[in-house]
Amino acid sequence: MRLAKSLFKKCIRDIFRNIKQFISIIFIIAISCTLYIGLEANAEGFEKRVNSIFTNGNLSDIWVTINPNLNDFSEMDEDKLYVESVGGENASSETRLYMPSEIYSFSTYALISPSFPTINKPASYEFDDFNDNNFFFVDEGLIKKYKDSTGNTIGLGDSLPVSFQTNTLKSTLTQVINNEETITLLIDSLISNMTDNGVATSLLENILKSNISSIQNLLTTLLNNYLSSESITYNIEVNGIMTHPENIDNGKFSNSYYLLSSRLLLSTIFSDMANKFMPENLVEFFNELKIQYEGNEVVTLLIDEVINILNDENNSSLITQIISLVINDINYSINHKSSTFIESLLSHLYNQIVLIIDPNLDADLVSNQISSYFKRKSNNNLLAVFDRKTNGSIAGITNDITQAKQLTYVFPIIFFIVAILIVLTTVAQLILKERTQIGTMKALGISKGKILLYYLSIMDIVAIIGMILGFILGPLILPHILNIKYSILYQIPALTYVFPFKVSLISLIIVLALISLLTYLLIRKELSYSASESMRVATPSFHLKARKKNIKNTSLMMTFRNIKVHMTKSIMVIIGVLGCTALLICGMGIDDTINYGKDLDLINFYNSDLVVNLAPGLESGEAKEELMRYEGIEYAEEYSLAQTQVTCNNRSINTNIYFISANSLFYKYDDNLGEGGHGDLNKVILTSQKAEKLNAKVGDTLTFNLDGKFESYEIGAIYYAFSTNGIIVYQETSEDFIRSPNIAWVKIKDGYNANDIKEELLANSKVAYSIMTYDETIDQIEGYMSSVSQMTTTIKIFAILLAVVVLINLAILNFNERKRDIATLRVLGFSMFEIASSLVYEVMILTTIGSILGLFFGMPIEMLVLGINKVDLIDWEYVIYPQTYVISFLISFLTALIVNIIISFRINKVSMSESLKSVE
Amino acid sequence: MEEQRQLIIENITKVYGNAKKNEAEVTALKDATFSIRKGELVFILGPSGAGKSTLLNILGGMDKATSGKYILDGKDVTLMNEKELAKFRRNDIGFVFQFYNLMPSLTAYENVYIASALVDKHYDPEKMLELVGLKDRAKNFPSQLSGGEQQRVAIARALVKNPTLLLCDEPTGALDSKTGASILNLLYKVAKQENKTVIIVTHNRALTVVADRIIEIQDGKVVSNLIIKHPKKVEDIKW
Repeated sequence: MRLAKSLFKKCIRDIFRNIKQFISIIFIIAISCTLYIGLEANAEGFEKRVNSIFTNGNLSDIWVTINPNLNDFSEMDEDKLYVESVGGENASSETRLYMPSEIYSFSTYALISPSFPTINKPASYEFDDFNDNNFFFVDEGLIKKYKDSTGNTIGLGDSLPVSFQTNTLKSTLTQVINNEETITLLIDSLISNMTDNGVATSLLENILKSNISSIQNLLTTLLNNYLSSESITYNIEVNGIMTHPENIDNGKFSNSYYLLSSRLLLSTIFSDMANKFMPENLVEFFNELKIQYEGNEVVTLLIDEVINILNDENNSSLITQIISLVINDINYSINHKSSTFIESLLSHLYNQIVLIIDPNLDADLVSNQISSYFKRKSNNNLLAVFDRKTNGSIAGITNDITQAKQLTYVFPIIFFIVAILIVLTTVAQLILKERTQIGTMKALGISKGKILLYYLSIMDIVAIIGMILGFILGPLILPHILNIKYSILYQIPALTYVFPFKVSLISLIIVLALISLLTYLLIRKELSYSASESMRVATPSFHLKARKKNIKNTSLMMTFRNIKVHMTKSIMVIIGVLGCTALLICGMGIDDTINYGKDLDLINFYNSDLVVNLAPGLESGEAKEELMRYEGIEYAEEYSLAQTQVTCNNRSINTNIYFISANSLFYKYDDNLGEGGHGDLNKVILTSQKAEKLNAKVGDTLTFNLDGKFESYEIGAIYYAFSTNGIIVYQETSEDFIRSPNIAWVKIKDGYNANDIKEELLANSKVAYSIMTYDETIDQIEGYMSSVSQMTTTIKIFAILLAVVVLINLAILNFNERKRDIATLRVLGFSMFEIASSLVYEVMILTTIGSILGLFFGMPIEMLVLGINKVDLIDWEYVIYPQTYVISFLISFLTALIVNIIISFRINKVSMSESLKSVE
Repeated sequence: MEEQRQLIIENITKVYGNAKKNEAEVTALKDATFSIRKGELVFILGPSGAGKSTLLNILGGMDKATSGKYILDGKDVTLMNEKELAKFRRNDIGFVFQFYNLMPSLTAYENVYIASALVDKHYDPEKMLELVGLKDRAKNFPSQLSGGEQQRVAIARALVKNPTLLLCDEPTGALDSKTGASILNLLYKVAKQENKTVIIVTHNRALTVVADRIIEIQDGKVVSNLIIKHPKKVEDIKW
């Protein structure tokens, strides 16, 4: 026990006495742990923060978007019932109207529902008085954007201009009007509210019910007159500010969401309609009615009287007031749920069903079941089924969580490998240095086990110091660095300190076990020697041929000898430098890959001066015609982008489908595709990412679902694209494909400024929904890649850091090992330059070999890193430019050279009296 | 007789530490004065801590005296700067260490060769190994040689440069008596046959019987400087 205590004391003293020797181990273990535990803390904390929003906001598992058939409520009810049923026993669902709109000039998505949502509800919010009939919650992202661009804030109680494209409203409400059941309900509702329930009421009911189509015409006319402009704006008062689980992503290019009560919306619309009511529509209606009731004197007289009142200008304002009262009555019904008509209308005013499925069910399976159900219907009105993995706004952050987790395993592993190398070289060196001491301990009768324990303790204590540093620094530093990105991209709760206890404990055990194993393996042989053998100077085990003649450079000769004699150490240095060079190539190679892909897209797809997102519902050619009217625009070209399900070789994926003109001036990817690709109207073109997912090759048949119709085409060509992946179908291929264009490329005339044209279009054009200039497009792509860029910068910084640590460690080891030799050489009269040359040559030769070998490993590591970071949005074509190899090689080489030159200056500080000392 | 004096030491003092920098001053050597003629086998004798190593360092150009004069072959070594001292060590000094200090990764031949490569007028390394009786072990590495053999290689390495002065720091200190005797014999031959001045530093008085001159140091001072007119042979040493 006393011996163990003494040995432990000695062990602690030895560590601090030789701290310089262990500093590299402490440093590299600290870096590795900082990275690993820091990244783990980041991934864990990030996931917790995101999950807290998902949980608080009760995020749905499935989103089913349909083209609502408001002509037939029973069909809608049936569809909704089915969707709910496949969700399993504990499923819950809600419906809502999901539509694009604008607040000020910001594109937003309206989530309109008849009562305050319980699924996909705000995760956190501040509010004024609100209820199911009256809520208008905007998200913090919108407020941030508004503040960024105007400097003003939006607060509770502010009235915001909310704009809708009228064609969306018109088509929805027209469908409602066309539904006879709704009109009947409307009549019932009207009659039931009348005070006189006698003959007159009954007569009116009969008249109205037998003239449903006339009422429908009247309402359609009223609606068309009311919604005659492109868009309509209502001022609605904000009574809630929220963070919403579906709108975590508040990036520059992501649209905001807002929650709006459908009762509040309808009430706002009807109030607005009341103000804009036009009596001439009613006159026309009653004239038509009169023709139908010719012969029925009572009715015709009654109608004549009504027409006279309507035609009398003096009464016009009175009539308007009466109608207003009626509409207000409807409003009352809306708010007090007293009208069967309104209730029926509200419960069917949706185009999306959100579903939380039974936790035991698989979302993929449920999605497939829903898709199959709609496919089986004669009228397939399914637009899309998304789960959390496929819903863009959710998948983005989910991918980031996955990336954050995967990131913890890629780089730290490389650092731990280098740490092992450093441990190996240092321990080997330590044991060589301590041979005499080991022999002495043996001679003193200390057991081999205790000697082993002594050295294990030294190495484990050193490792623990490094790990503790990493455990402290990692969770403090890394999450804060990565949170810079998260706070820009997402609206998530504030960063809190997270310590990944379990992972830390496991890594502590693994590192200690590994270091103990390495120490044991290195000391094992030494322990097997007798005390006297250990105390003897080690005999190098080599068989070298002595050269007697032609020795031209003694420094080089010593260098080669040292490399050969210390072959294990030399191999370790080579591996260390190899790793650093490969990491550098990987970091810069990722940049190359991104730049290559980005440039390809910019040349072949995003080469227009402006990309205009078009207003919905435009006819083909309408946008082009309108845009070309502007003076500064030389040329405009429309294309359509849609989502579709594609099947090939029994594999199905959801993907983008681009409908582009075969004679496009902007789409150039097909220029070099040759026969079958360029301009072949009988075939479609596929990008390689999708081809890989479908296991498809040129000549295979591809089937895609378009508006419920299945189309099959042969694949004419496959090419690599960076961010514009999907299927390309020429607009001219089939008339069935002619659809509302949603994007336009615009070329600007020389001498005109893109930003000016953009401003002009946004202010005046009816077709431009939002516009991006060429520079903004580049920014957008770079924005998508911000996380990857951050990663590459980290890789590059750590690779250089790693190179410096490895090379400094080697240089110091080399130097300390040769101190006595250096002193001797100085006594013999060797100059500092000659001595330094020998040391520098050795490291530089090993560095050169390591760097050259590292060149071959850069690409595989890049493929590994990018492979882990695969996302649907981007496809990687692994590219490393020659200059990356040259720069990486030079960085490793020059780092080694500089480190060694600096260390060489210590030669002069080596006292020559070292040579007079006894051999330790 | 003045012209026969190859090495002159006059009032050499070495003080370690600097009082101006609040460092404790230790005088390792004080007013050491002696001279040596060419071809003499000189023993510097003294107990541990007497200042032998300090004197050896100054003689070998590894350290500078605080004051005094050191002249070798007419050159004032005390006036030399670091660069000139390095050149001095390279061209004029051959050094034999107590623990041999051979480069472990070089063979016996290569160890001698690297020293020869330092100077223009050097001896043939192969012949030097032959001279020390190790021609057959030229290809062996230090670890494959015995202590005596290693010290022979070290002597060959020191001699191959054809130095003016051969300095030996306890050359037999790590060797058994038989091997020590053979090394001493070799140094004796170097002095007599090659006409080299050989200075051996030791604390072992028994060895001094073969000396031409014995300089005794105690507490940093030269306490005696004896010229032995009839030195004994190495075989006569009682180990």
